[in-house]
Amino acid sequence: MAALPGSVAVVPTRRISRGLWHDAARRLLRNGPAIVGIVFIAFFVIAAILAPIIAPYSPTACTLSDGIHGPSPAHIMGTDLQGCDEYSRVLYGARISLTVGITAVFFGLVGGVLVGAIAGGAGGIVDGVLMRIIDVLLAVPGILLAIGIVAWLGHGEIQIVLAVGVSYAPIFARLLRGSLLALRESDYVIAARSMGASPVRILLRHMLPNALTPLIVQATLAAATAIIDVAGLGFLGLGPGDPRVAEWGEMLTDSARFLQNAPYLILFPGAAIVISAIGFNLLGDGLREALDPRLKR
Amino acid sequence: MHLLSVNNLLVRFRTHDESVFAVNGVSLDLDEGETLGLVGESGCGKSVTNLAVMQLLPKPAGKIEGGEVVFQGRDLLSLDESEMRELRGKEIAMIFQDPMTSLNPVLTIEEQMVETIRAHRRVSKPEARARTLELLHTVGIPQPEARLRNFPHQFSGGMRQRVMIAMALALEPKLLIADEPTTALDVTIQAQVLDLLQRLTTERGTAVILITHDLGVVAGMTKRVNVMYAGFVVEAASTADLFARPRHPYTVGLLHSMPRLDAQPGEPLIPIEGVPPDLRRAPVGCPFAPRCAWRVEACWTAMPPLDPIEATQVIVTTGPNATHRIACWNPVTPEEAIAARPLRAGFEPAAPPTEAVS
Amino acid sequence: MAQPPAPSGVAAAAGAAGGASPLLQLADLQMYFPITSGVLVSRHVGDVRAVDGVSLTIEKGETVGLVGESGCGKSTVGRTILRLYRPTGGHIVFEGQEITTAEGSTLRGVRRRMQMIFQDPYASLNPRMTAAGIVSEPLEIHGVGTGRERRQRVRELLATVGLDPDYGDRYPHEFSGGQRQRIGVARALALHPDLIVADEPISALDVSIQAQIINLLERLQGEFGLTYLFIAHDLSVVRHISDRIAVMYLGRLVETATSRELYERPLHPYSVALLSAVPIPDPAIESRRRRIILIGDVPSPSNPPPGCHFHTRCWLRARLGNPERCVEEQPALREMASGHAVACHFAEEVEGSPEQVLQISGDSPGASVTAAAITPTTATTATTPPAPTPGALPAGPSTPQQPVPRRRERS
Repeated sequence: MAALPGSVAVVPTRRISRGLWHDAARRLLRNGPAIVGIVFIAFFVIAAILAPIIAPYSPTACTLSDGIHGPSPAHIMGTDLQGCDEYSRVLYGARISLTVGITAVFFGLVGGVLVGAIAGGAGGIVDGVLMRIIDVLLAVPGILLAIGIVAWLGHGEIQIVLAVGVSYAPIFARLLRGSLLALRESDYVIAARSMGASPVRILLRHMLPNALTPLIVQATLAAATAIIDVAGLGFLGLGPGDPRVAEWGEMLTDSARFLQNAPYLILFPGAAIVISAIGFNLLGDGLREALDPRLKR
Repeated sequence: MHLLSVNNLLVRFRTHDESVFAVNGVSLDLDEGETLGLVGESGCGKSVTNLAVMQLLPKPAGKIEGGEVVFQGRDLLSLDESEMRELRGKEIAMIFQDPMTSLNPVLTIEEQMVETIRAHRRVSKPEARARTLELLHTVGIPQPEARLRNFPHQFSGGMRQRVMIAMALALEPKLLIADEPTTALDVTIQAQVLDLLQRLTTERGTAVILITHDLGVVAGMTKRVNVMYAGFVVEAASTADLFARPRHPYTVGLLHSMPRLDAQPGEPLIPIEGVPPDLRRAPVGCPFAPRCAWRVEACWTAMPPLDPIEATQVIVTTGPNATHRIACWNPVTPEEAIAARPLRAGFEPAAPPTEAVS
Repeated sequence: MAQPPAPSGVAAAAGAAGGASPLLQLADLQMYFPITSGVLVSRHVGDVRAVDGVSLTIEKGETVGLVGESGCGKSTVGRTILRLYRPTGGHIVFEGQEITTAEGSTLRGVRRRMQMIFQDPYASLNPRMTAAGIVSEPLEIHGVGTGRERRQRVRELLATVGLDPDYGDRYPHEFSGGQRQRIGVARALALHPDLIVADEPISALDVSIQAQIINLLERLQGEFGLTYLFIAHDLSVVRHISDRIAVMYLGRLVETATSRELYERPLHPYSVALLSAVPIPDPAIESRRRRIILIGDVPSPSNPPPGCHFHTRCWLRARLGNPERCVEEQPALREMASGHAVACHFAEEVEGSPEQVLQISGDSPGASVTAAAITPTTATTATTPPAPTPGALPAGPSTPQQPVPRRRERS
């Protein structure tokens, strides 16, 4: 029987896909809200990086005698109690919030992945013990945990990174472990076992790459709350410690009592926190849709 | 007048990314009490056609973009949702492949069946309950009183399907649409359920559309068959005729590519080459052309209409003497149907036009 | 590496086969999965007896079909053979080597020689690896060849299974179901295994594609001298591809025979019922068939019936007045004829019974074009059956639960 042109070797010649990350990126960029999120984040990232250049004043160039003033041509966001330019402080504040927030999430991610991989990979007693520890950590509300750690370790950016990171690590650990447990039953993992693949190879080559996508989404969303957590710590007086360093949370603390008279002092840092957090949330949601392995056609 | 008449039905699924051309001009008729088999592989449109009849297409993506559906003389496509709800369950009922998803997992069987009955009939709860018991008994559920309080997950697959049948037949509908009712069941359970289905529908004179991909099931359960491919009906005939004298290359291909339990040992399978069609492209010409050993030039450019295999005065679309119709420019001869390949001297399948892809 | 002595039954079977050692032997294989209960401390409250004493021999080059319905344990048998589980009991001897408890590098070495093809073409390929990567992985794991040699071999393998080698850099989701299954086959072939366990390899594919894969598997068997254990629930397919068939019910083998023997002369009541339930694409035959409708559902493998697992649904037992022996004594798999073994106390009663003879229409040909393609010279039953008289029922005690072979009425 003559082989027909429609025979099995033929797959549509124009490639519908060019790699999984590429596809995901394309899907992401078609998602309106995600683009908005990216814009928000980009805005603050640029603000943070270029703060020294674009800020009209140094955040510490404060003229005490000026006192609180509303927005004016010279100070577009007004001045705070010490007479410092609010706008510059907001811009510089982005540095702390973003760096600390993102680093904390990253730190939590690394820790969580390690613990989750060990628990999910080893199973048995190791898994049981680790999970109970994680359960305990999760029982404590994140912000309280962070407060406890900062109270113990003292002020400083690194301490905040640790504190916030530790409060997120259990979530990542559990998420990863759950994914690994589910993936372990997948046919392709079983196929790898039946070929004689070592457990390490299976973990690194088969399980982790497929388990990471929920983590990426979760990490992005965690960045949103991390920014709020960092600001929260600052608000509670557990911030970086140096009063001259501009930090959004501390700016809120300083201005809280001026709610009636100078609401803009709360409005601008508050808006910055909220908008940057929303940005990460939108991006996270967009990533979830884009990375979703709906790869069954 | 036919019980159900579908004429040139067109169904598309439209998302912002793409369109899926699910049903591309399907016509079929059904009389009271008939059992029609709708056969085809996944994606051929057999399920979508029936969802369209019931107006149960997923919204907003699923759209009926042409054709008409006439049931007992009424144009179903012109009815609004509340009128359709009147019909569903009472006049037309549907059972699905996976009873786990079509039975509500948080309601007991009693609750679900009583609700169904009372939605359409003014009866008291005790009366509805009695009817439910009667139905469960009819479908062969052992100890029905005890099982009324059970939830769907407490039944086995075969039992659940029986409950589905009981619910579907509770109101004595004129038409039952069974969408792959036994595909997910073991073969001995399948035998039980099909036997039950056949017995009950014969007793009650219910018309049945049986959707399946299994030609063996069709052979045993139906009197007439429509074979579908890529949203078209490609062959329509009485069951006996379809198996004894298939004329469409797809039907011939299917028959020869399925292992038969009673085949001679060593009998080769003759597969249909190629891959299933991509329904995201609007159909140009006959969708089976890339895989067809009988194709001629015309097949690439125009879809043949569903026409009788022999010129005839009257086209009968229902009943045991239904006209055997196919949609093909180059039908298969009886000898070729046995041999499963073209036998004409020097015949070569027509090459695709230069710019087409498979 | 010391070889522990093979169990005596195994050695006897090897001797009986004329000295040529079988490729695979299962002796009384058991695979139980524990059921635990309890919140703080897990208690072992029972077992799911997925495989409950299976003995089977597979010779080199043959295709053995393992057939049964859901829950019978056939997939578990396949996976246990590949040592994806550690058997609870019994022995697995592969190429003369006891592998029941093998671990580490021994097991790795064995794994080169047996491979698996999976049911679900969507789930059996890592969505983040390219087709070439997937096929090349076994070679990488076992350090076969240099990078270039591996790439070349992957291209050859893809071509062998009917795929364009240039598509190796595409991802699984870019292929259709049938093509993905071909990738799975290529992966299984990469290390030149001796045994391939195919676990429902075509169940998830469209009908028109199934035949392609079946033919591919048959061709590869001829080309590479493969031995198959073909696990499936579709008896028509199993009969087509297998030399011998083993029928499983609830963790045990009930019958083993050549495909021809099983079809022409099934001797276990379950096999008879199973054969009678399989639809045949031929309306004339279907209208004449007498189906045996089994009563009730399959019992749970965690709580199988005592004695013979099938006795709760057995039409023969009902016919014989419910003998106690079926409940008290587990029937052993015994040889009824050469190469034909049955696990039933009353298998002799099945022989020649109307159920056995009439599960496929006796002597009239079918009315399907594929039936015409079948040369009508061979009688399909070994005994001369009485012509089926419509409505006639075999005599027997009319107990309420007797499943009566009913004539299927045309609707």
